[in-house]
Amino acid sequence: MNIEQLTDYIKKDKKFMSNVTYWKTIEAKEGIFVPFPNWLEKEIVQVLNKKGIDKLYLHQGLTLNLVRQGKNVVIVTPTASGKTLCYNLPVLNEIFNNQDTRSLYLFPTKALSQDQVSELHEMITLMGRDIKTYTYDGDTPVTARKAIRQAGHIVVTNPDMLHSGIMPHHTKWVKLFENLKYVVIDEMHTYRGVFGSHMANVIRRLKRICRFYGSNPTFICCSATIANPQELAEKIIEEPVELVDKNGAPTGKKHLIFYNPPLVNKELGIRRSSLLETRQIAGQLISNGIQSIVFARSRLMVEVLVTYLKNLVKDKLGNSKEIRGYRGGYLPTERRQIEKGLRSGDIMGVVSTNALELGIDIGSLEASIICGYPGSIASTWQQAGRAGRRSGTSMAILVASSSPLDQYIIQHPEYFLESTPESGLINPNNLYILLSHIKCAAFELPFEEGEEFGVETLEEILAFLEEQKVLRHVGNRWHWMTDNFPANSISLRSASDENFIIIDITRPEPRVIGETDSFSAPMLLHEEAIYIHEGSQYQVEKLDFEEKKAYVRRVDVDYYTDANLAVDLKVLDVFEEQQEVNTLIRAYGEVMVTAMVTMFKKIKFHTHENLGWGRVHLPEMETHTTACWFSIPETITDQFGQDDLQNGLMGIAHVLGHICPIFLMCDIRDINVVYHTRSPFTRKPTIYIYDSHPGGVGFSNKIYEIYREVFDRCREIIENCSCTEGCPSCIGPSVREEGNSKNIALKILGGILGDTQSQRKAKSNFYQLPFQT
Amino acid sequence: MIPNLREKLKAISTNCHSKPKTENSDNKSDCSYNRGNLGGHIISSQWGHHVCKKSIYPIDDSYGIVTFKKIRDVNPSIVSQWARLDETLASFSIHDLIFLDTETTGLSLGVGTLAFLIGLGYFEENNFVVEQHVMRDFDEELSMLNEVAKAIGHRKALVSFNGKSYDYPLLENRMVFNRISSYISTAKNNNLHIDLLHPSRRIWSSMLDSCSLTSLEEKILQYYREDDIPGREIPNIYYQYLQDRDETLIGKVLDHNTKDILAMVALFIRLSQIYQSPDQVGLNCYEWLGLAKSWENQGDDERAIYCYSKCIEKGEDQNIILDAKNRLAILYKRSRKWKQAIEIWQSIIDREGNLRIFPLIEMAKYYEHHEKNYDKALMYTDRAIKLLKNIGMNREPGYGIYDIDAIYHRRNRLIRKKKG
Repeated sequence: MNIEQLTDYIKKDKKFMSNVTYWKTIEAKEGIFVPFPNWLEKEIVQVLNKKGIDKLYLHQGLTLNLVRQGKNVVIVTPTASGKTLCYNLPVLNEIFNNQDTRSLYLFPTKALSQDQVSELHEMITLMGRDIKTYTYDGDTPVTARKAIRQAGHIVVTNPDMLHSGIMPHHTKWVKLFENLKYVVIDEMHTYRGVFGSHMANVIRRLKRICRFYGSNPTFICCSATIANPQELAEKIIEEPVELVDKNGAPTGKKHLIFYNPPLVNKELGIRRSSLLETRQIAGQLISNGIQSIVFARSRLMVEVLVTYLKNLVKDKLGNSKEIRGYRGGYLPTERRQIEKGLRSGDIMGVVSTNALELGIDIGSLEASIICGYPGSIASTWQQAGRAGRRSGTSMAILVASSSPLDQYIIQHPEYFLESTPESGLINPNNLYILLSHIKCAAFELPFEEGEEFGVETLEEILAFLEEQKVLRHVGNRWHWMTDNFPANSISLRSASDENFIIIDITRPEPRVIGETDSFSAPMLLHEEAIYIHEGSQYQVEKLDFEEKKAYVRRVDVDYYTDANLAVDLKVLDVFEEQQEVNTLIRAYGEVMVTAMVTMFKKIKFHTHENLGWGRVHLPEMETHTTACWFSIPETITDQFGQDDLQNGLMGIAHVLGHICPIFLMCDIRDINVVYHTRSPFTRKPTIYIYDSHPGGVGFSNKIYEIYREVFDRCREIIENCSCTEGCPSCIGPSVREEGNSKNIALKILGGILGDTQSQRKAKSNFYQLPFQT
Repeated sequence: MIPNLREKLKAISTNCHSKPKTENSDNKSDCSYNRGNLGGHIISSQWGHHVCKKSIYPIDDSYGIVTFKKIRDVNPSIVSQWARLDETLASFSIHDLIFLDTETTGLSLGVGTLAFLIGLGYFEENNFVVEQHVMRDFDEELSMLNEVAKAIGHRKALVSFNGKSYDYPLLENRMVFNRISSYISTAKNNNLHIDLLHPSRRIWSSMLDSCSLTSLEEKILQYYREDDIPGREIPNIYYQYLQDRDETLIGKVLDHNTKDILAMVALFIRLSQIYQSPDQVGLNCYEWLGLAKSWENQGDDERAIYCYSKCIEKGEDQNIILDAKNRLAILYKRSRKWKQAIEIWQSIIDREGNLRIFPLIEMAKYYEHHEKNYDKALMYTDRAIKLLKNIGMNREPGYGIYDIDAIYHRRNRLIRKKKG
């Protein structure tokens, strides 16, 4: 069956359709074209003609003209709409006119940079011109670096390399900085939260160095659909930016399907696992020869699904079509091979984390199955957009998990379609981040009196650093005066950049099969863990925590392991505290979070039954961050026993963890919730919500301010849930023999909000409110 | 690191609310008025001020076992040999030499690391002059760099120890930063940097665990510093000096820098002597070996053979002798001097308790291919097999891996050939 036939077939499948909560068919759209601008070099036009391009899409034309006028631009168009020409054409045209011109391309990941260079190379080869394009990143051989610094017309790199490998050595890049005409920031929507806040500071530093060398580059940014592309771009580059969002590229017909796995136990609110449903749907598509991509939310889920799908597809056909996994932790060569296989059609199915959400060139697939709501509207559209060609039909299916957020989305498709996608929020002036970059900037060029760097209080910060003997103020300038290299100790990403290496010792010659970031390592690579790589199982024999190495051996077992993370939290400082009328105390401040993996469970494949457990002995990981907390008055909690209180708080924490991201427009992993039945700090039952990122990006501060709305919505979800005693979609599965955690949770919430259910007026529906905040 | 950062964050946030402290401005005025002259004189120009300290050493002075006046005997062409300079560019005289050593504000090579002290050394009439340019604060860098660029100016042969990978790139960074064009880049592009590190390693690496300047100074030049400061402490001493203007410790940094320059001159002379007239300077077997390898590397087999022979003759260290013998035999083999080669291999084999496979294999090859004496070839092959089994390993230090299968292969071939 081809995809058209398959959609018809599915539509007639009553069992399947009973789980579909929403089906939208987006009709095909014709392209809108404009001619090449007359100033575009003849040679470039000829090359485009050779590639079969004889006119431009509307958005390409608009961008070219704005850039021509020297304006900064942000282009917002979907995947596969030819946005790379938007920046390649002005850049190449400029080099044609002036051989000395330099351009800098920034991509969030190395993989993306490599893709870009190969596409550019193709065009340049067709032109037969000597235009030098290089990637400059951690993988660039030392011997090649000098030539790149001297001669590269287009230097393709990532923000991390710019931050620690290029700017602190700007005197070696004189040619680049003196002649820098264009800076391209692709996948701009990825620069949100901590990463985005760092990025804005990296750009501040870049502009500072450009000023020193007398250049003033134009910025060309590209972004996936987010609510505020122009605002985000203007925050990152701190200059006016023109928005181009009229997509002129044609699109094929597309089916968008929301699928909610059936309830298997109504009382307990338990639904069939989204993983198993995804297996079935994806299996059906791939067996029918429809090239598909499956998005899973964690690395573990990717591997489990690869294993499932390999078996499923093999059983039906007798021979296995190729199914591959794709996630962080695979080696670069392996990734390249998978990308190539997808483009050529040799690989029929790929299971990926959000790693493939970005514009890595894998061609366009026919179907995208999203296992679990990715956490944001923008991400969902990105993942759905991985299926879809300029012509022909495609299909995107969102399979909900039983988490409160997923259930909310799947049952309120209008929310998904009508609300604008999330905004990219950044806070470049987060003191923690700003301070890091002020140090880097001072190392690069001494600060001069009266200079600006983001904040008005710059001179006070400089004076502080002077007191700390980090800077020296002399002759109207602040000079770097410590014996270290600041950029090295500052990572732009939340996770530490020092990865753990995974070494397979099955055979006499050990071999590196993958790597993982040091934050996930304790969860995935503790001793006795089953590490799944490309569908093969390995057991971890030894984890050398100091050396960051895990030694694994191939095994063949019918279970996987899942580690438990125990989190503790200590208040270090209170910034603000407020006692409400009802004696609820809410506060906002700084905390230290310690996380430790203490045990793991062995879970059987397919049945998911628990086969046993083991202890893990690993050091704690510490994070200093910001948090808000709510201490609940004893008048409310005194009526409950210890166990009841515990269950009530656990339930509230469960819901909070899932709904806060909606208020904050952040990823579900950006915040965390913990509770103490008696907090050692407040001496009362307390719920804490903290920023996952060291130093915080202000998420918890926001919750502190809008706490009433958050708790109100939290109560609404619990109240409106159809289960009787709690389920994964509200307060989490009930673990109680007797008593009703749902009621307890509701009573506690009533206490927090200082009213009873009867006092409350009917409120508007939950989904309409929060998104204006 | 995080608790520290937290304190900073806290400190900043309290700072923002309270009044700015007034101490800072006091500090500022302190440092600008209290700049001493560090025992030198102050240079002033349109670029500002800095300190220059000159020390003069009569050419009859020595540093360890080396007397400065021996520089007069150094033949520039021999320098271009050991320093591996392009011959056509190497027509410099003693007065073109400029020795350079910097002391820096940090150990990394980013643009934010500055040289606060640039020591230069050169021969002038009957003296060796050490000229140290010091910035007493960051605002004196421009003046210092301009003066140094001028001082280097007309001298075309820059000499350093590890300068190629440290001092020069660092100075280049700072020159570019301050938009000064200097000879350093020109010299680099024309390969007229004489870096003492690699030539020293070539001669002394088999003898010394470390070829640091300190180690060479003690073991080779036999000069022992008293009251010296370790290099890694220097950045912090400078920062301390900026704070309190106490010249005691920074004075020691100047002494340290002076000694580094003097040691470089002595090393320069010593290296030249070793290459120029090895027989007169009394070399040990390690030095002969280093010298021999160096000549061999440069393609001067004749000199290499001579030096290897001298090394073997010296014979303080059996491992070194074996090394030299192996290398010498290969040289002989390459020039088809079979008699000499065989003699050496045989001498290794005949040594009591020989554990070397290599000469046995070479002998087998020789008898198989040249003498066509398969019996003898087989005999050596069998001895090699036996030895390899005895020592139970397939690796000979420095000579690669022996594949026992390959040796058996040779053996079978020999048996076949023998049968005719």
